[in-house]
Parts: sequence; C-alpha cells; structure tokens
Amino acid sequence: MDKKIIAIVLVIVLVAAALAAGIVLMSSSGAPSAPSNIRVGYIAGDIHHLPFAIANNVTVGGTESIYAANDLNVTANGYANGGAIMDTGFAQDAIDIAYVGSAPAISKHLNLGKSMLNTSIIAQVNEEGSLIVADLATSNASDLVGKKVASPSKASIQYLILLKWLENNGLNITGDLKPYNGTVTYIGSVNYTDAAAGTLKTLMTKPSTDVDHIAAFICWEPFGSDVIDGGIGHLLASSHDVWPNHPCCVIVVSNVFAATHPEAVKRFIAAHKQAINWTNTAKNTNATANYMLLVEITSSFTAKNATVAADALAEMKYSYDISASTIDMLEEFTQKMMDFNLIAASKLTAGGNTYASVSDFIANYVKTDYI
Amino acid sequence: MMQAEDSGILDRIKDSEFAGRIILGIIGAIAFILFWEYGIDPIAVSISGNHFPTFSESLSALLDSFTHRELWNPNYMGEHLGFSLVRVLMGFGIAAFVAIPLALLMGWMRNFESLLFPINEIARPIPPLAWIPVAVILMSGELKVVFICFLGAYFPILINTLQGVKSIDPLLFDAAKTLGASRRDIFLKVVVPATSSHMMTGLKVGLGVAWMTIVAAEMIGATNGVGWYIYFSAVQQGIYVQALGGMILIGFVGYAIFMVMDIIERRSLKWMGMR
Amino acid sequence: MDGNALISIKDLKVSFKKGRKVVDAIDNFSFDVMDSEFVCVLGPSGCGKTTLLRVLSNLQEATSGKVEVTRKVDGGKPVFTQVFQDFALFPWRTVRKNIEFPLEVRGVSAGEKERSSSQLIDLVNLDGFEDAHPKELSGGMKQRVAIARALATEASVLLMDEPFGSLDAQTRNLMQKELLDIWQKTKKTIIFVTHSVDEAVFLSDRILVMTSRPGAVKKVFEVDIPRPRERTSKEFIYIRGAVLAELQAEFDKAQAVEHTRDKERSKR
Repeated sequence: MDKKIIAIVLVIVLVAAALAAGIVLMSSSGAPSAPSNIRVGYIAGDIHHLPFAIANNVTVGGTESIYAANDLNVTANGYANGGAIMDTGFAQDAIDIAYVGSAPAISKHLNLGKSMLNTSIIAQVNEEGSLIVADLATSNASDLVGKKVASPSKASIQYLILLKWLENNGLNITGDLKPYNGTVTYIGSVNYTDAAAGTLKTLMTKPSTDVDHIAAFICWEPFGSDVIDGGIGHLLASSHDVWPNHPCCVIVVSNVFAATHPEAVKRFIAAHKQAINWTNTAKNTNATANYMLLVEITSSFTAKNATVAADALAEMKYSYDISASTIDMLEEFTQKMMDFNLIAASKLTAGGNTYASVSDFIANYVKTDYI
Repeated sequence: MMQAEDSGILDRIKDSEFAGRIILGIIGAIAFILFWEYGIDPIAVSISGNHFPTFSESLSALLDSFTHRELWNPNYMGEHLGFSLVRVLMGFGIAAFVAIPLALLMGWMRNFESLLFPINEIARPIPPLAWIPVAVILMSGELKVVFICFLGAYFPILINTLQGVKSIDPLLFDAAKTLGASRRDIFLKVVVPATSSHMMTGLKVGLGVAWMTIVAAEMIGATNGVGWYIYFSAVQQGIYVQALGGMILIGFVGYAIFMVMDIIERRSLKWMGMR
Repeated sequence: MDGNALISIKDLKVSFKKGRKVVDAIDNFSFDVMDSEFVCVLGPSGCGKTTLLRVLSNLQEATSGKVEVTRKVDGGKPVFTQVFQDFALFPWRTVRKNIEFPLEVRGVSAGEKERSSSQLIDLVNLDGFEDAHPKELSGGMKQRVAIARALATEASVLLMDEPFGSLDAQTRNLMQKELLDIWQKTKKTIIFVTHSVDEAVFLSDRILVMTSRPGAVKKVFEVDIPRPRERTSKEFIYIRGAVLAELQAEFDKAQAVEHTRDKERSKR
C-alpha cells in the first residue's frame, strides 16, 4: 500500500515538475536557436507601435507578412508600457529588440546602468502623437490647480512632455522633492498619479466628486481620441504644441543580440522601413483599399472602433530616420529628464556607464549604422 | 467479503435529498446571473458614470476569444489557457516536490522542525504577490511567474502534510516498534502512508491557491496567459468585457481543477482503505 | 532460577516523573516465565501491568533491575512482540499486508512472504479476507489479524495487553478459545494482561497477581486444571474465588491509600 501512495503523489508531482524542467530551460536560456528567430517587444494597443502590427500582418506582393518576407520568425511580446519593456524585457533577456518610448529607452539605461541594460537605439518609429486631454469641466491649464492629472508611467516620454507642459503653464506636481526650474514662477501645483492607458477613460468618466476622478491626462494615441470621440473630454494640447517634431518612439536592440545576429538586425530594420513606408503611403490616400486595411489593422491593434482609429491615425507621424535634429532633441530630452529629477546626473558614470556628458552618452547610445 | 455498496452518481440523483440540493444550486446560480445581467449596470452608471458589462456580453466575449483575437493579443484563449495551466502545474509540482519531503522530515525530527520553525512562520503570512520584488530581481523568464505560483501552493501542502504527521496515532508507532521496525522502516512504512490523506488535502488546496495566483503572477513578466489577458484587456486596453470573460474562465477552470483533485483524493483514499 | 525459565525478571524498578514528583510504577518486581507457558497478569488499576509489558517489549526503559532471556534467539528475530487492546492495525494495509509487515522489515523474499502470511491467515481462520482493509472487519477479526501479525515476527514471547477488552462477551469467549488453539499449535510463550479473573483462570498456566502501585508480585497461582476448562467446574470456581479474594484485598488497600491521600489533600 505504501507503493500506491507514493505512486499517486509522484504522478501528480512529476508530471508537473517534468514540464517545469522543459519550459524553464526553454525560456530562461532565452537565446533563439536559429538566426532568423527574433523576440520583439512592443506596447500592446499603442498606436505608436503600429508599424509592428503592419510588419507582422500586412503582406506585400505575396502571402507572407513583411517580417516573414525578410526571413524573420517573430515572437511577439506585448508589454504594458516602455518601462516594463526595458526592465522586465531587456534586463531579463526576454526580448531581443523592441519598439519603445525614447524616454524609458534613455532613463532606464542610465538609471539601471549599462551592466544591467546593454542596449542601443538604432532607428526611430514616430514623432509626436500624444494628446493632453481634460474633462469637460476644465477649460484651461490653470483650472487644474489642486486637481489630479495622470500619465501611463513616470518613465514614459508622455510624463516628460506633461511636466514640460505644466511648467510652461506655471504648474508643478505636488510633493515633488525639488521644484524643477528655478526661473519659473509657479502659480500652483497639481496632484499626479500613474494610471494605465486602458483605465484613463473610466477614471475620467467618474464623477468629479469621486476620489479616483482624473481631471486631465496625457497619453499616447488612440486613448486621447477615444475619450474625445466619446464625449468624455476635450483636447487641451497635443505633444506637437509642447515640443514640435519631438522624437517619440524608437527601436531599441540588445547589444549582445546585435553582435551575435547582425544580419537579423539589418533585416529587421529593412522590414521596419518597409512597414513605415507602406503606412505613410496608405495614410495619405484616403478611401483606397490600403487605407481601409490600415484603419482595420489600427482598429484591431488598438482595440478601438474605426472612427477613433482614423482620428488617432491623423495625429501620427511615422518616420524611421535619425537626423541631426533628432540627436539634438534626444540630448535635450536627456537633459530635461535630469532637470526634472527623473535621472540623476551621477548616473552617467554609475552602474557600468562611462559617459563624459549627455552628448557623449547620446553619441554612444544612438547608432545610425543600421539606418 | 464485506464491502460498503458504492453509490454512483445516478443512485445519488434518485435520492431526493441530493436532487433537492442540486436544484437549489441551480436556482442560486440563475439568480446571480440575472442580477449580473440586469442589476449591476444601472448601479455602476449611477455610482461612477461608467457602464459595466453584462453576463451575456462577458460570456460571449470569452467564447469569442477562443476563435478570434485582436492584433494586440498574440494568442487565442485556448493557447493562453495552456500557457497558464503549464505555469500553475509547474509551480505546483515544484512546491509538492519540495514541501512534502520537508514536511515529513519536520514532523519526524523535532530538531529539524525547530530549525525551520521561525523562517516558516514568518514567511507564511506573506502573500505570494508580496514576493514580486524577490521574483523580479532574482529570476528571469518563466521562472518569475512559476515562482509566484510555487509560493501559493507551497504553504498549504507543507502545513497539511506536517499536520498529517503530527496526527498519526502514536499507538501505530508502538506497534511498528514491537514488530521489529527500525527508525527508517517506521518513517517509510508508517509515517509516509499514514499522512497520505492529509497530503492529498494539502495538494488539493495547494493547486487551487496556485491557480488563484496566476493573474497577479502573469502581471509581472509574462506576455501571454489568462492572467496576462485579463490584466491587459482591463488595464492596458480598457476592454472590461474581455477581462470579465477571462474571470469567468478562471472561475470555471478553478472549479474543474478542484473537482479533479477531489476525485483523485477520494479514489486514492478508497484505494488505500482509509475512507 | 528454574532451569526451564525462558525469561528471568529480577528486582525490576520503573520510575517516571510526574510533574516534580518521581513516581515508582513498578518496584521490587521479580518473576520467572517458563518456556511455552501461558501466564496471566492481574492487578488493580494503575499497578503497572501495562508498564511491565512496555518494558519487556522495549517501548520503555527500566530504571533498574534485570530482564534476562536465557535462550539465544535467531538473528533478526525479536524476543518479544506485542498485541494491543486497540488492535493498532495499519489502516492503509490489507489483512495480508498487515501480517506481512514484520516480514518486510526483516527483508524476507516475496515468495516466502506470501507463503508465511497465507499460513498465518489460515491459522487465525481469516481465509477469504486476505484483501480486506481493517475498517471492513469486526473487532474479533481485527484482533486475529493483530495476533497473526505478531506471530509473523517469529518472536518467542507474545505480550498481550488486554487484547479482548474491546470485544463483546460472545466474541471474547470465541477469541479465548481460538487463542488457546493458536498457542497450542505454535507453542509460544504468552504473557497476557487482563482485568478479568474469569478470563485469566480460563486461559493460563499460572496467574500472577500484582500489588497496587508500585507494582510487585503479590501472589502467584498455579492453575492445574486440564484444558479445555469448564467454567462451571468445581476446580475452576475454587481458583477463581481465591484469585478474586487476593485481588479484592489489594483493591481495598489501594482504595484506602487513595482515601487517606484525599483526606490529607482536603486538610491543606
């Protein structure tokens, strides 16, 4: 009878434990087994990362997707925000390459250090494309004093843009340890909370007496258009107003992967360029079959209806180039994040970082060879 | 040979008391579903201005997710379910593998128990989710998620098995000794089989708790799975109807797991003549 | 010491701590047990009968004194084994598997195990129930399994602690007859603790009456009646009366001691 008990327990346990060995080994070893396998990270539902959906789904002259046509076998990994892509994706070797906001690409690398996050920026994805939306009771920025504003994450570029916009309007955030800019006269402060993109509409809909109610937020499209088209809020400013032509999302690659799979990275960028060119062409030719397909993919990728998808698309500027002005803006961003205390200047030389200055950092971190 | 008549499910249904209980259960379920279908949305709108998906909307979103998926969602629900089940089973398997021998030894050797006592007692009240920083810093890949499920299963298995050892009739030890058993014999031939019913209970509870942790566990680093799907639908995309569909699935699967474990528990105990 | 003695107990003393006090359960206990004899031990409650058995089967340590076993036993086989009032069967094992436990522990081969257990099952009249679990058995049947299991150890001495105490009167009588049968077939030495004078007189070669705590040998009775014994026979009734009287006197003494103790306690 002893044997029977041991047998039962072992059956239940070993089946599970055996799977354990297999899958733990498979995933934590991480490295793709063939050159054309590539693990791609992106933010689920973020229209800034639409080129991923395009490359993964649109077939150009054939039955294969753009990625497949470039000999890439893509594993898709959807994340909640750019911060997560950096510190659970790259830092834990779960992905090889990703679409991610330039702010987390920069701040996480500096804050965590090159020893933990050995990455580079190798292409752009889009410029601008975020909206600052307020509830119907708020007419302009000064109405927000004492009320609550939100962004999807303090690591995001949206948060940086929000801070700049608040500063432009003489506002800062309650409880921040040090006022950002000694030269600005502040007229008041606002309360801040992180709120995931999908919850913003719900929180703005709540009555203003509800403690969770958000009076204004900044978010990547299509979440702003979704709220505006739904009649819940109205537009206060777009990111274009705060920082015209600002770079927004970029392609970040793990340096180790780039060193061991240079051809795959080149083909990925080729696919990326193709996807963006296709998108821009389709975007500018209303009512064609490609435009309909574009709206359909956008709607499915962002989980919003066609109207919202189309409005959001109108706000977007997709571009892969890294020009001199892109570099300047990235340096400006980095400096601003330091001014806003999101990055400590000391991080330039900490955690494996050996950068002499902000421009030295950008010069090393942004690689234009692939473009 | 005397043996109690095995009452099968059909016999039990003919028994009117059992039938009565089934009917009551159905009535309760229907009442809940009706409330969800017609009662919750008006309440939600009046409290927070937001709509709340109905039962039929949530259920159809769930069924839909098995064959349709939006582009932000890399897998069909069947695949998500598979990923989550594997993670839970892995965490559970490792937990059983570790906790059962540990508990048997702790019950068998007082000194060993005293050694582990403070660590165990302090770790026990910490909910699996609070271990997230440990998982995120020390582990990568699937191991992170599996670790949280492991924690869910570990303590019920450990505690039940340990309790099993402690509640062995001391007379059985006396008998074993007078029958010539060495300490090793007593451990393998008395302690291990005697704790089997408690062990089964621990395994049953442990698997259930591990399943309950899957949503939170997948939040911290999975990019697929039922928990990931629910979190992303609700929080990332704001599609609450899909999240609720996912919740219905989690409830049903959890119940199915429980029933399977219950049957295994009863069968094995009958097999061993202890029920 | 009698040349025939199998076990020789000399000046046995067993003490244990009860709170801060040290209590002697057994003191000045000396007794010889003959090979293949059937001895019953009687005495008032608390006189140390169970303790005596536990010391003999090594479940408990003696404080001082000696237990000598004269005959050398084969390697691997214990001298003593015990049968308990509450049966102590392993509930997860079948009848056969329970009986095979001591054989497993000794490393007996599979074929040999099955042969031995079949023989024992037959000896205790449990044919047909080999694959039943304890919970399906009546009290009498359970005790038969326990006896068969104890016999499987091939120990020379069977210690039995009120083994029929949990059984109803008819089953009890039946089991007594069966035990005698088994004893005559196996020629084991049996030390049998009981509260029932009747049972003692029916079963034993000799009856040992213990004093109240601390237990010592009060009186030993020879029961010379040929078996099978008639409970209504003159000899039976005579010995029964004598044993009862001895027992009663000891019982009264124990009561008196308790009574004085109570009085002293209430005075404080």
